[in-house]
Amino acid sequence: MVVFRIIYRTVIIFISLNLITGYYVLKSQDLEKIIDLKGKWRFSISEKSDWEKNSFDDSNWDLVNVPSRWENEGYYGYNGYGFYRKTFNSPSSVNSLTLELHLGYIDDADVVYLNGEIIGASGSFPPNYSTAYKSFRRYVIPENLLKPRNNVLAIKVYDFELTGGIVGGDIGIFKEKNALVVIEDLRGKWKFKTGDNLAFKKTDYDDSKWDEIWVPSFWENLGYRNYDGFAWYRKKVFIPQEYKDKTIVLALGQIDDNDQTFLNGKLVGQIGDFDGNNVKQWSNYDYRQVRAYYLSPNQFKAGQYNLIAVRVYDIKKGGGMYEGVIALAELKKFVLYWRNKNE
Amino acid sequence: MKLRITLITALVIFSVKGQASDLDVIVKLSGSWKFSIGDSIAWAGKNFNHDKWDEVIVPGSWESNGYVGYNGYAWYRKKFIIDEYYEDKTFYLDVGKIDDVDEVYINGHKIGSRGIFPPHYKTAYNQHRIYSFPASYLDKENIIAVRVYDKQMDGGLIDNVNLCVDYNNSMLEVDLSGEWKFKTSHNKKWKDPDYNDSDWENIFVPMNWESQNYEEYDGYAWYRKTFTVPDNLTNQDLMLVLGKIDDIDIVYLNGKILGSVLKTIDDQRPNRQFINKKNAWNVLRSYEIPKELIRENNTICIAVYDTHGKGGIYKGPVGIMTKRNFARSGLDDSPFGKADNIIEAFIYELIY
Repeated sequence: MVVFRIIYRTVIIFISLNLITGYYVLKSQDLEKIIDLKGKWRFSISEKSDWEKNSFDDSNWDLVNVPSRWENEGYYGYNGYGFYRKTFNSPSSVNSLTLELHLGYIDDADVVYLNGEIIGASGSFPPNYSTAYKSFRRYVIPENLLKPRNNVLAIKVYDFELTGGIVGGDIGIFKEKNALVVIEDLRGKWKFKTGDNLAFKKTDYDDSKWDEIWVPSFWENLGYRNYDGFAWYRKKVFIPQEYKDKTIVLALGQIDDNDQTFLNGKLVGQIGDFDGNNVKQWSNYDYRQVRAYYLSPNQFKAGQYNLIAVRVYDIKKGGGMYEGVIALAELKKFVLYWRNKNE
Repeated sequence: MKLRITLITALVIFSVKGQASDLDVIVKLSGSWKFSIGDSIAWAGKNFNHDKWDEVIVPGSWESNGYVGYNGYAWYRKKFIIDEYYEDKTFYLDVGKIDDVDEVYINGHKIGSRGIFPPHYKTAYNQHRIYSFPASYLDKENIIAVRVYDKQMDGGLIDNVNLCVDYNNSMLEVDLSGEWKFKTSHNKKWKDPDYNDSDWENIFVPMNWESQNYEEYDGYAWYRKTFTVPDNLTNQDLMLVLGKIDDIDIVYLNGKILGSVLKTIDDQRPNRQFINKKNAWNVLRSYEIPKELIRENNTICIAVYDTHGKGGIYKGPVGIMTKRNFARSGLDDSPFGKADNIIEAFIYELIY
């Protein structure tokens, strides 16, 4: 879990974008709330570097209602940083699953820690302040980050003006109903580098000095402010021996705008035409197309680690692997998952 | 007069309704089909065992059947039984639109294709497919196999699929419906039977060209087809019947003008005059074939000019009949109109 701290170091600047999201987002009936986080939270104005830690003692902090603008909780006229903390237990039956944290609307910018690890951020703090007060916060909780007892959610919020805080929405942790049965969930940490070099597709390329980035999220939300152009994502994934004769699907969700995806150095799929440094879009909706690259048994190595390398080209605004089903799954399970959704 | 107006109204309504094609469905093939992603020519065959394949619902993109994000090759297969006897020599498989490129087999015989597979990929996602094939391809138990390539977004069999015949064809001695060569624009050389049309597009006749990837195309286009006449017919008085054409046609057989709706209109009968001269699209084309024009291999070339709306040879029957059968068929009982300036300009340009 060192990764999240690395991301934290990377995430010096958050910026927000008015991006169109919501396509292919799960409908509310696909989600089941398993932990309700509405109600009393610990709160303090200001911010300090150890306030996100589980070991920090918040017992003498104020208690405020969430969701509610802090102006209504006794902090009338306050603008600036505020820190929310909530300690909660989690049924052990769900802790091995990938879950979603919903924090509703936060005014203006936030960074969210669970058990000391950063799991998401929106907007950006000063000196490059920008608001994300219009964005509904949905953050992915990676599997096995939750513990049965004494989980701590810590949220650093910055409010520039007027109302501030976690101001509205249904707050809680949700599980997807009829979730995709995966070989490997590919959300979470990926190796990341801006720029372009086809050597990055190679299995033996040394990416140890690359940054680590959270997937799914626009890279603009994770420190790559205003970056447009090429960038690469890399991740190693183990495919168990039992899949050696099966067709499997490498699902990478939606990517803004275009991608070429390589497995073990070989191209397995793309959206858009790549010719040297020139990228030609297939349509204006390439960023909304679901990436699902179907791999026959001769395209991957069962019983071994396989290297996924995704070459991304972003034309403007938000860029990167930003949303959707991001996983390796057996063909039959993948098709079944979408059939259930279509019904 | 009232009766005449009613008749005109009826004709207009009929022409709108019968715009695509007027085939008679004998087996409905929508519903559950066998499906596999991937590509193998072995999957075209009649005896390939597809029991282990997945099942999907047609009509419906493969994405709507769970194959979200899949781009590339996939095959559909379906078994069907024919337990009635049909005298028809020609059958039609109406597969509707397919996204993007397809190739269709009946019992292992390739019956048609639209679009171009990679590496010289060209989509035909907007094209309504009807493929004709001879009765000899069919057995009691039959397999349709459809190879599809989709480049992006939705893919697959997105329309109803029907096996059809055309009851009108029973009056034909030589059935000329099915695949023709087709090219938009105009060139007088295209009436030459020896002109090489191998790079022209394939188009189904009879069906308007708007349904076949030429959306909103108005203007000139040419149709070409080569056929043989059986020996037993060469001494008989024959008619070339071309159904209905929207709007104007000039027909060449083996390089010589055989006729035109313009001539037909000029020959109008007094009691047909109530039909407006702009109704050429609703005139059934039938042209006498001079015996001396017939050879072993014959080429029909048809120049068509469409003024507006749908265009092309859009309604059958299309083929060769004996004059005697034609007289008996009742097909001759169609309204005539009178040439107008557009038409005259057209024929002038074509001939001179």
